[in-house]
Amino acid sequence: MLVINGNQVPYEEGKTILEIARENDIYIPTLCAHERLPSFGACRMCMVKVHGNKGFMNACTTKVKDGMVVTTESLEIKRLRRSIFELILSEHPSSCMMCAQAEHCDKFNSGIMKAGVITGCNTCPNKETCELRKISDALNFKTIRFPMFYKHLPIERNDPFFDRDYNLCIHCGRCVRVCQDVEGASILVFTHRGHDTKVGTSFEKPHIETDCKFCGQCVDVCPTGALSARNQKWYETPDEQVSTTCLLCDKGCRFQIDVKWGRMVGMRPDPEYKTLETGICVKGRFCLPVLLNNMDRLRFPRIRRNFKLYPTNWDEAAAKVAEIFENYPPSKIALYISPFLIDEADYLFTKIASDLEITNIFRSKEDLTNINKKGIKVLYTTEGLPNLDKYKSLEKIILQEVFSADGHDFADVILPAAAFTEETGTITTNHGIMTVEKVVKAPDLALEDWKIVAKIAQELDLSGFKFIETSEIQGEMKRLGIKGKTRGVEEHYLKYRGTAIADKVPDFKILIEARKERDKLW
Amino acid sequence: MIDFDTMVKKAKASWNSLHDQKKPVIFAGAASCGRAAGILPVIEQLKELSKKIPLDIIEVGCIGPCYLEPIIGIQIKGEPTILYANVQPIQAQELVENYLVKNDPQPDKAIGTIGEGKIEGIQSFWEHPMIKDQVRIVLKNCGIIDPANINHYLAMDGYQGLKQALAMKPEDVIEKVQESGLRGRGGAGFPTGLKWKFTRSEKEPEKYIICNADEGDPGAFMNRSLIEGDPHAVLEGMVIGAYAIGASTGYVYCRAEYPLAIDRFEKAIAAMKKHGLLGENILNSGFSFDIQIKKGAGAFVCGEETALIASIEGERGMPRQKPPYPSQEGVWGKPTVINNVETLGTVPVILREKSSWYTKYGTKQSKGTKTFSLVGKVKRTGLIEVPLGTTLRKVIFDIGGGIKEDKGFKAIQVGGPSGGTIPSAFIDETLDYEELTKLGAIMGSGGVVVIDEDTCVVDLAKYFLQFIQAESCGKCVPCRVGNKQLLDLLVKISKGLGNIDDFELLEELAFTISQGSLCGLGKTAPNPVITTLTYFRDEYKAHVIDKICPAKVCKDLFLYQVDAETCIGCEICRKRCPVGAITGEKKQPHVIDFEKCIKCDVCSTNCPAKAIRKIDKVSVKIVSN
Amino acid sequence: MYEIVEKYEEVPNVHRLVVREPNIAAKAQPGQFAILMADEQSERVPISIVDTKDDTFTMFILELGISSAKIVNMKEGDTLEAVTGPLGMPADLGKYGRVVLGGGCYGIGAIYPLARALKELGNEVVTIIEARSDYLLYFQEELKAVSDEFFVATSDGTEGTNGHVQDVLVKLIRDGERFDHAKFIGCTYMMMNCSHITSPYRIPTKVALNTIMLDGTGMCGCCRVSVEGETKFACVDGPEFDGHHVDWDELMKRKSSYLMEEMLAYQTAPHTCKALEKAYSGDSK
Repeated sequence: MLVINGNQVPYEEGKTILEIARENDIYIPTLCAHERLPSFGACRMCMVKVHGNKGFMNACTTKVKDGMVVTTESLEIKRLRRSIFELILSEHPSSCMMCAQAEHCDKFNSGIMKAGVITGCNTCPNKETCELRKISDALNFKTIRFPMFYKHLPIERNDPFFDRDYNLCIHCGRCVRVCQDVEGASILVFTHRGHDTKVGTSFEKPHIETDCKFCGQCVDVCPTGALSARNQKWYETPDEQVSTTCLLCDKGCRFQIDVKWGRMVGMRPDPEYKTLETGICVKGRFCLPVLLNNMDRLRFPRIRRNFKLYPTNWDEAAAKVAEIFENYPPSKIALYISPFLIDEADYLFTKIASDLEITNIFRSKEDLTNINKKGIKVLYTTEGLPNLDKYKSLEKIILQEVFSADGHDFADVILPAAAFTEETGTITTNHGIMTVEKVVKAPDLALEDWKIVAKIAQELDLSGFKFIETSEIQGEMKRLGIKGKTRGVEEHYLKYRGTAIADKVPDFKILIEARKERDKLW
Repeated sequence: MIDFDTMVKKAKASWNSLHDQKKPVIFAGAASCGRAAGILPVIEQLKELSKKIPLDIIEVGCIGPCYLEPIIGIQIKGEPTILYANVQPIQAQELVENYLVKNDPQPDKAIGTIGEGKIEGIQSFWEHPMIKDQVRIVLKNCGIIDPANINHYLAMDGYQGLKQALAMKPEDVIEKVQESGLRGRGGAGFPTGLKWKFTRSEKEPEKYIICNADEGDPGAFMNRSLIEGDPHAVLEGMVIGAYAIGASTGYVYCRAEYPLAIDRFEKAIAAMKKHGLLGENILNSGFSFDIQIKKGAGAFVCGEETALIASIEGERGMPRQKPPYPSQEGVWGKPTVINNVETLGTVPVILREKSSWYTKYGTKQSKGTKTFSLVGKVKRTGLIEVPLGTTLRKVIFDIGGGIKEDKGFKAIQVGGPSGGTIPSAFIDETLDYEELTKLGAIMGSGGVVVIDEDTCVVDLAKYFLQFIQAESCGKCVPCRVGNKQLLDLLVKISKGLGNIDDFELLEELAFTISQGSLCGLGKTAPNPVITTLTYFRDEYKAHVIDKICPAKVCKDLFLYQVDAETCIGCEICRKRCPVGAITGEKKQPHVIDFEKCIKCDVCSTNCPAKAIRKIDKVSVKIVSN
Repeated sequence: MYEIVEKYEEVPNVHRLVVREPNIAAKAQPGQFAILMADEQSERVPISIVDTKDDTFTMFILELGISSAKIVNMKEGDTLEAVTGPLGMPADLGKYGRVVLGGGCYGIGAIYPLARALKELGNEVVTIIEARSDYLLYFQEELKAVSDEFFVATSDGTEGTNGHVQDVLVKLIRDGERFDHAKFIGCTYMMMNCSHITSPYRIPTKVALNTIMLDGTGMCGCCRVSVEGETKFACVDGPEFDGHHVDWDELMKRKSSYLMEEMLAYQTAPHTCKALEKAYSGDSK
């Protein structure tokens, strides 16, 4: 049995005062505590009184004892907390918190405030989620008696993917702990001592020269705007947050994606999804929005006329594909199915293949050698076609892709596909079957892979392709006992379908180039 | 393995033969302090001399009075050793030659004798005014024996305590230490026996003992001197402690800035292993124990036990929140005892003697003796050991001989940067844990800095805070930011820019830092400010309200002026002034240009007529207006 | 080629940029601006001209988006792709009597040529500058030299008045000060607030608007503002307008119309990486 603020709360052995308080909806302000991290006791905001002990105890590290009597709110505690918070703010560019005009300024200036160097909340990319601001509101903080101290540390903007402005750092040590205790990387450490203590890499090396995996976990746990993902800031409150699974490899990492203006603007590991012990890789955390928001996406179906590719509508494009299929014997037609398709699309491809009696189904680059061996004349590829000049027997190429991958310029039909963040369905990963959610709409006329197949099937008058949702396909698969398979794509694979990620994500290119001599890129 | 008693017999024989030998023996105080004062060239000189006159030179530790360093002792067979102070190479040679060849002991140059017998005109060293009021228990062997020679230690009843302990049950060893009332000499004064008891009672079978030799207080050198003078005592204490708690591994955490101390430890450990006093099956008792030396990189905070543990584990020296205490979860997560050098150095005596012997010294709650490094503006500086409960008056005026140049006694700072400043009014209070805490100071490791009237308390507080804020580990907010803000406030006040609201801010900050900080370093950091603010509020007020530094230390608040009547016009100041701020003709009073003056103090220290005055800046403005 | 003669970060975010361009240096008048392009593909950025010396001119550039970031990441000795100017109408200058000037952000620098010119014309110049905190104040000595009275306001009260230009202005007016003319340069919000304050006292007020601009010669119409119900182009009719008649709400909305593009521009903008530079130049081994 425990007593907190005069109320009895259940005692649970091994838990800290903070954990028990949170479970019982008792607010204790904290900055360095984080649910995923071991307690640290650095910010000193969670000071409470434990009866029988002189002085204050910090709630985040003190384990409860049976019969403990705890006070979390009193004038004395408030005084201490305010005073400590004042010290924190005296070293954090917090003038906007004190500014009498802040509210009006926010209203009038909303949306137009960005800045290279953050000197106040109104240009801070983290403004909406800033934990300092939340505590400031809770403590109703308006004045600061100490001189302000700006550290004038150089802003680290030379690493790919993130900016690091340690002038905003409050030394909560979350990034250090997540790097050490969760990722086991220990890239971020405390350096220097005394008042000059700061967070950084050993010898202040750029992250790209260290073994940093660019997992972005440090950015995710930062309570301030000190660490920010360069490509994912200043969008303020997202319109929507959607969780989905990453399809770039077999690991099956879950994301939470911030959506604004109909685009993916922010990306972080799904906080609800505990199967992932560590973070997500650099491809998922930092590359995905840049990759899929890219202006180079295929947007319209095209067909070749007079040696040129002309944009067209889906009906015409599907008719064209059907025409090609009808004009060649099935033995001369091959399907190249990308491992980056959702299970439903994969199933529909195999279904149409069996309906059309197409037996040449390629699933890897190695399979492509069969084109010459079997004298394939028509290739329907969902992953581009590298080294096109090697395949002399090909007469027609149908390219269903997200980007203008290899072979695009020689294709007869271009079918713009939606990326996996633009469709709903399931994928089979190392964690089993996981769902993929539609986060944003596909650009222009780009269409989900399975819908494209269904369209072509209908054009060919095949029955059994009238699906409206992927759940119907799932139902059919279940009935037939068909199960998806993992794709055999490992974490360090550098492509999405037929396109190298680095081609579309400049920062990723920098990473690959700078580390090309290493065995592991991250 | 050699039997312990044989070993002791052999050691005693070797020690006695040193005193009975025909060849004269020279004892040179060659601890770090002696080396800094210049003993090494003296030793070189004497080694050179030994080619002509046969003599043995033995390097011993520090015997105490720093102000007399370098010290050598000369022993002729059948005579007591004569100690000579402040010796320089040539002078040392003369002393030795005069005594050994001409048989002239030169009483005027000697400071005392050690050993049996008397020499005309020289008092016993133990009657020396700095020594006679001391009780030397821990420092018994310092400056007497060769610390690198285990036989010397054995001859002085060394390892008898260990032998006794090994014959007892561990619980009884703890019981005996508890009975002695020994409290941690590192500062907090936690009962040592109790600490051992807690650690022993932990279920985890693997336990550790750590000797905290990370002495870092400015002006404190007790531990260094003890290690350099008598390392075996500390290590013996460690083995006893390990036996008592059931540890099989011990660490000595010694700062790398103490190379001689580390060297002494290394040699001592090697000798112990050779003599079966360390390693497997110590003295055939079945108890095995090994000691490793860990060098600290010189971070002050690593003296804090949890930071020290982190440092031993190879992590950054950052403290963590207690509880769990090291006795529950210490190094590598196992129960660990951390004892100060001096605590461990005291343990062998306690085990060797009856516990009532030890408890006869000290007060009711603070038993035994404590070493202090007596420094600052006192005539006789050095390492002293007195029973707890000795009055400040005795320490400063009897042992220390009073204030240098007979200036006014203002205060003492006890316990280093975490301690407090005690004003002269409390001169008759006693030095013990309870009394010091009552006065707002702490025992700390035992640095006593004597402050005279020429010291400004704001400047003093500033100095200690500067140290603390630079040595903070940077983990918790109150310590990292609070101390910096506190320092900035003091700097502001010392510049005459303070205002009346700053008092409130100082107090608020001191409260926040002491209540909010994570570890002992932060919790005690504002002590110098709190105590000076309590006891010397008027001096603060003078800075803040009148913009005057009464001690004339804060450079922004005073100006140098030549007193026209005293000035003899010798031109020394004009010639020495680095910025050419002084003008004046020969035999005429000189004048200092306030604008140009950088307050380097060169004119004042070099003036033969003492005609350079420091005057309050505010008073000048009034005149010029 | 337009050489950057001098470039350094005055305070966080504000960079002093001195560019060699003899024609602009010879012809620029107070209140005019120049348009800069960092490279062939970058946006055109309008920046106020603060001072000229021989064949160079000085600007204070505030790093706000990818285009200004490109410029401020250039080094001394680098060359800008394009510099156009002087553009816009020179500020209205005359002998008004007692003039109050307000500047914030980049405006602290931009107000300087106006203060100097007005002072030379025999006006009594009262200058008020604002920043969030003391470490963001710059150019104070220069401004003091051309002002009769000089005030500072900071949002957190670390220096001068705790507040903004308008707070100092209100206090001065309430204390009985009379002004015959007012000019404000800085963030739109500050200029709006100050204009609202001078309005009831009928102090003629001019504000220098920092709209989105493209060509700077009145062709594109991006910089359109409504003043007294009339559509004006900030690039050729301004940048100085009557602060009492500007449609502030419309101005703010127009300024944020490309927010998404501005943000997304960060995603694909090529950015330098020191580690990579080293790898290419062979320094790393």
